[in-house]
Amino acid sequence: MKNLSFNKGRPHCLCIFIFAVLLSNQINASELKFGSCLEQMQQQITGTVTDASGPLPGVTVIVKATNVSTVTDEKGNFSIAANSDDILVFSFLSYASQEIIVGSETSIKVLLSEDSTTLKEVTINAGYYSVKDKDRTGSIARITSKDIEKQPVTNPLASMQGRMSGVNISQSAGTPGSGFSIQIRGINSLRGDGNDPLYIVNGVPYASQSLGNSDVSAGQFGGLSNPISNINPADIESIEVLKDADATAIYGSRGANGVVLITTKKGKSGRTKFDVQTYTTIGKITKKMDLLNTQQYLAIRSEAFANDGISDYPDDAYDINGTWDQSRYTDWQKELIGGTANIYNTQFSVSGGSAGTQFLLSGTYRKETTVFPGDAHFYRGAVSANITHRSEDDKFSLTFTANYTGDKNTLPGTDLTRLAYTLAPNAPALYDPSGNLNWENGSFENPLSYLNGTYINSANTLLANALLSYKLPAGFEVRTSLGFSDAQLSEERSLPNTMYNPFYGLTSDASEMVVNDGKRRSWIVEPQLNWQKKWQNFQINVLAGTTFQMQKQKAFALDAYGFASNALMNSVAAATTITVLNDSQSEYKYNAVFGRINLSLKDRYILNITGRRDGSSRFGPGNRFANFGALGAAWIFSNESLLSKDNSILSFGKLRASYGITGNDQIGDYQYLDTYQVTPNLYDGVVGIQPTRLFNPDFGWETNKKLEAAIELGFLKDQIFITAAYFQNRSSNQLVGIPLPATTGFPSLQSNLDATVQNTGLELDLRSVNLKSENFTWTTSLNFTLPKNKLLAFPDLDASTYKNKFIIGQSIYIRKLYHYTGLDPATGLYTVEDVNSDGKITAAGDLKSFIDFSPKYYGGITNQLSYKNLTLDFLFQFVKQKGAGTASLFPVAGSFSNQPVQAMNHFPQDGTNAANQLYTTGVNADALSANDNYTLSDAMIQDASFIRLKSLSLSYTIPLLWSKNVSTKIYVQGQNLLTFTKYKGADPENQSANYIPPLKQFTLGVQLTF
Amino acid sequence: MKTQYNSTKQRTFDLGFQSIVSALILLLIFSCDSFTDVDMPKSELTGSAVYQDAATAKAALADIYARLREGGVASGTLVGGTSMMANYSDDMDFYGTNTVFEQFGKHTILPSNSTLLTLWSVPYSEIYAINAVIEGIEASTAITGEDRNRLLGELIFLRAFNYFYLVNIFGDIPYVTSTDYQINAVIPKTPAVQVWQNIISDLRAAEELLPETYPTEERIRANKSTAQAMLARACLYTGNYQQAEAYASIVINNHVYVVEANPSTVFLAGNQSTIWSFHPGIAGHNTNDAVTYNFTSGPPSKPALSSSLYNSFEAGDLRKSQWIKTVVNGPNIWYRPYKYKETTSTQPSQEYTIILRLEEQYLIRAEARAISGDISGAMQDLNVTRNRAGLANTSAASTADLRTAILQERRLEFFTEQSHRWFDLKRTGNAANTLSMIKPGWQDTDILFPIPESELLLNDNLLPQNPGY
Repeated sequence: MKNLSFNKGRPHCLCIFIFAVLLSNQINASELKFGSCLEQMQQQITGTVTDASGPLPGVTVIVKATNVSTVTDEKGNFSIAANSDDILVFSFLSYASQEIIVGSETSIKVLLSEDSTTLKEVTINAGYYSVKDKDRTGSIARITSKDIEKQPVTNPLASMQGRMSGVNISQSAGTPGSGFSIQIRGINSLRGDGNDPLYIVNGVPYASQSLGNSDVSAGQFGGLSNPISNINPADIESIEVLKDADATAIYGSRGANGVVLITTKKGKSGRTKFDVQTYTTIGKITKKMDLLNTQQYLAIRSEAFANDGISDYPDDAYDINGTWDQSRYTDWQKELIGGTANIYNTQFSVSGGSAGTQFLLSGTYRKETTVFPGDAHFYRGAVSANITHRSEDDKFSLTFTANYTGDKNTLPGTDLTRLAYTLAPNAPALYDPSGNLNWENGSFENPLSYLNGTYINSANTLLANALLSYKLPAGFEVRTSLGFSDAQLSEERSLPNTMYNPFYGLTSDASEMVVNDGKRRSWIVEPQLNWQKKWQNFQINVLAGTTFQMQKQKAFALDAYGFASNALMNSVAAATTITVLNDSQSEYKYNAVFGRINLSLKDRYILNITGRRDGSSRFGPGNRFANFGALGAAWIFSNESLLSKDNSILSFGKLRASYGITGNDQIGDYQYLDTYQVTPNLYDGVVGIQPTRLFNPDFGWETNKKLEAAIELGFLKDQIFITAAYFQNRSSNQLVGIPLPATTGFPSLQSNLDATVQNTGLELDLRSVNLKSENFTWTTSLNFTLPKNKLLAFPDLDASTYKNKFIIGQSIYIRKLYHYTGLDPATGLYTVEDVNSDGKITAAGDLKSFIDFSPKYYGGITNQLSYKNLTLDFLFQFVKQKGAGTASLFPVAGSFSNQPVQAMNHFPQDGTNAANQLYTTGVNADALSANDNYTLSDAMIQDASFIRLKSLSLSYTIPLLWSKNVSTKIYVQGQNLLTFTKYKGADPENQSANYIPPLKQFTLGVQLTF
Repeated sequence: MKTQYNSTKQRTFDLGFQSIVSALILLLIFSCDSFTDVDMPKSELTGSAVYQDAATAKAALADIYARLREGGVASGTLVGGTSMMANYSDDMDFYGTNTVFEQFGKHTILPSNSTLLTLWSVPYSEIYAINAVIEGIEASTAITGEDRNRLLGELIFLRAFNYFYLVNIFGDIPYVTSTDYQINAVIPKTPAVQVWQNIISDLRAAEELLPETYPTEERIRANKSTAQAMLARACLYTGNYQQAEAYASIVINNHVYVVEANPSTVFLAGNQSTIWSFHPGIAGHNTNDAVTYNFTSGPPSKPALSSSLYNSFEAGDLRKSQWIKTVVNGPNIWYRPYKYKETTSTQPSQEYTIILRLEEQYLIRAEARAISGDISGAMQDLNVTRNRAGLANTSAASTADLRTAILQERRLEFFTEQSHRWFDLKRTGNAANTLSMIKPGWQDTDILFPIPESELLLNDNLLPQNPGY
């Protein structure tokens, strides 16, 4: 067959070729030899492929250096025609490939073993195409369902933490559904909100912008509800993160911040397999803050009053004027955030199919509670269905996947964390003797009253996609990816009058309900043409495609105020006053052509050229289209004849490099238009309209130039595998909302800035099989990232509104601060340096110190030990960084608020080296101003580095001798079990005093497969 | 035969293949044309469309009135100028745990105070909208005649109204007249004297443009009298007593406005002494002020009326009983403003927040007359509100005594209204002697608020900061 090609240009040859292709599936390969002129005798080789647990269906068997191939059937059997000196290559996803010389055998038995060190053989999803790990020219990090299953998480991003180099993820709150921040190779954009990566689920872009409304969900998540948390982690087969230009440029304008590809699970051929998995988890906060007890607290208060010269305690100083019992002590952290959160998760799936058609159906049910008092809970029901079909002639294939997730999240209307930290330790009991909320005659704002207000978030997410492909002759293939996504979010927050102190005398007339409905629908069509051709030493792969995408979004929010009774609150129509907060619709259209040419010579020299021309409706006419592209190259030097011969130490060696341009269009829709929008403001029966923005019709794309060079080395049959990469990303033509003074009428203007931000870094990935024997295996993998962010250029920075924010040559993560100069021995107050010596402390003149908040380095170490049926897996995550200390999170020491214990060390008792200045109740203006400056000074910066036992999993597969097909696994897992840090606040990861930190969780689970 | 068959097959194939490839190539070539055009968002109008029609221009104006009601310098909301200035003056004492309000109540305002920023940014945001609508109407050919004059008059009036508060609160301030952000982002401060001149010339222009009548039966939008009443106030503040008296007289002599006979009806919707009030927006709503000042148990969790104010009423003053409510808890007693009483919706609305009322015009004229030596005229004007409150005629009979009596009368008549008390203390030079004993953080530089810190960081030309911060 290889002797025939278009190249010869002879029509009859072509005819025979076409005929052969058309009939190849009907005719046995052995018959083909009559149609070709082969010098050697071919014979039919049959055999069976198995793995440790039995026959392995779906294994690809190829006669090396030819196009002849087959796939094993359900019983692992295959049959293929080959010559005696041919080599058969057996390969299967995540198994070590094997090569066997045919020789005189006509029946071959092959045992494939799963081998983590042959990950380079794994096929990696690169979005529009897939590539073998060893052949890839780009930088792609990956986790699979095996890693995800080890953690009982709600949000897929949580499962990536600490597992990927160049990917820094932190959780902003410990409530289910809360936000995560993800940075792939640092912040590229000066704008705060445009640094999200592009998410693609099964080929369909998934908008990560929240549909939430801040009027409804201000206090629950440390941000708005996060759409990524509506993807069910249990349905995910793999997550690939594309990092460099070679991998991301094919995503053009949306690839600047990296691309996260999520692929859901697919059915596998073979016997019908049922899988039931259920686990239960208990969770607690990771750490309590060390706060004052009553005695310490009251001592500070009375000293503060004395300092302020107040001897008659004011009426509202209940803690100290005798209104509240001064011998009482309550650990409010225990009362308000010290509860136990539970998770129950059950998942059922059935999968299987024939060689031609496979299916998977799975369902997940999850219930999660919180550490708050009350009955806050999160429910998830998720269904995933997949069907894959390949026609008998192997030409047509279809993959259809649908994932539906319904989440309902009921949370307290207000996160109680801040109250847990600041409530006076002698505040009264929560309940009175008869079990009602205690208001202590109106003097106590009972924190549990906030639980009378609830926040309910219902999110329904449907993602469906179909991939159709048809193989044409001569290596051509047409494919079309069709995708549809529908996300709906409805939120409601109730604020009944019972939330408030009854002594205000509020009735249900003051009860309020805020509701928000957000809908987003999008479709995408991506027809593609693929051509590949192999010669003896040369292989070419060409892809061309086009994208049509449309997204429509609708949001409707209203505020309903005043009800005849709180029982009527669920019907907004019963409100006496209804205000429409938001009624908006937007449309986003996106169109592109893209292509890729991949050339591979002698399995050694690989060149990958990708490009994309993008058009986006987010830009004004004239600025809509732009070109992006990249060039990647790899040299597998271990395949060079000089090195490859009998090299027992170096088993693999590759150098790769890439350079290219990507863009960023995360600016929201319609920003270039000069418009007036309808507002909720009513006056004299007229609904108001107001200018939407300061408009600039001329802004264009932000461009991001990425350079990467990497070396990949495998030693001792790849038992040790090292990847070291250096990257340099430069973002210029920064598309930002330039902050403006209020005198312009708006806080910012959408525009391009001629500034350049550079992210460079070193990434190191190491995998090693430390020990491998029949019963015992120990593998370690490490990832380490050393990032550096730098503002390279910013013409006229000093004349811009950014002059007090950034410094050229420094990271854009910096924060300008005062320089702390100790306590003033005369006044006992904090002092900061008067840099410009004008006799006063002003932000513009004296904020001249700065601290870089970017992580210095971060990474993770995973160890996996398995002995027979027992597997232990643990991940340590580490981050070296600085953070804001507790001083900035609490009101001034001496005021009506609890404090961290450090506040006890104070002036004058502990002299001028004391940690805290002279106490004040809040009437000493100089002390307040000094405290304000202090919280903005370098003195409050703390080391917020941490090492955390992020996940630990111990599983045991119970050997069932009576059936090979049944397996039972029991496991225990832990999340955030140990944290080593010097950070004085509650948690170094979210560094917040307002939101609950990530939780420490213990899980017990069982999995049954039959 | 076989070959023949194959050729046919190939031809079919070629055709299918060619058409697929051609279709793809066509897609590649033509995909990038008009697909990325999007329609206008349905909830928005283009800037030019707004000024094709007086109705949409009026909607833009309605928004400015509503924003003035809901935030900024004259708003009765909790963070609005009215309650913050009352809190800053001796009208109120600070209670509660809100450190942002505490800084106002105790005179410890930091330039980073968040409410301070809204007192600055909300009026500038309104001024931007005002300037944008003025520019739109001036460029429009569709809005003409009476509509045009009235709209422009109202807008110019509202611009002056915002600047009046800004200059009183902050002193030298940027005076923005265009919508060009390139100018406005680096705009320097204009000396207060110049701002005052601009305010007065804007008010005069508004007086010219505005008709005598209100657009509807309610007194909820500016008319000629509104501009005149504001002119009387601005002239008094700038020491132009002759003009102050003249403008106040025009309003007082306008038979449309009548002093209510009893203090109990002064704050009811539809009363005869109102010159300009805020429509509450939604039908049945009442004032923000009533909600802001409301508390029913003590000690209060927010600022309450000072006992010094309560104790300064003469015996028998009806205002003390009708406009103040006491809250008792055991032996302790607290006071709250009770001018506006309705904290929830009623059908129809009972009370509107009053911005300008006739009583002020009498007291402006009384003060102007007292200073220019018209003692009997001043006494007569002062007695209008005294008599209505059930008090005898004033005993003050000299310029100095009358000025003291008028200052006191203004305190009793206008407490917790429209920043009157703080501005009165300030403009009459009585701030230091009155407040230094009451406000723990008093410094003589408190006469001006600090310019918000974030503004100074974004615009160097606003430096230096006001003294004392």
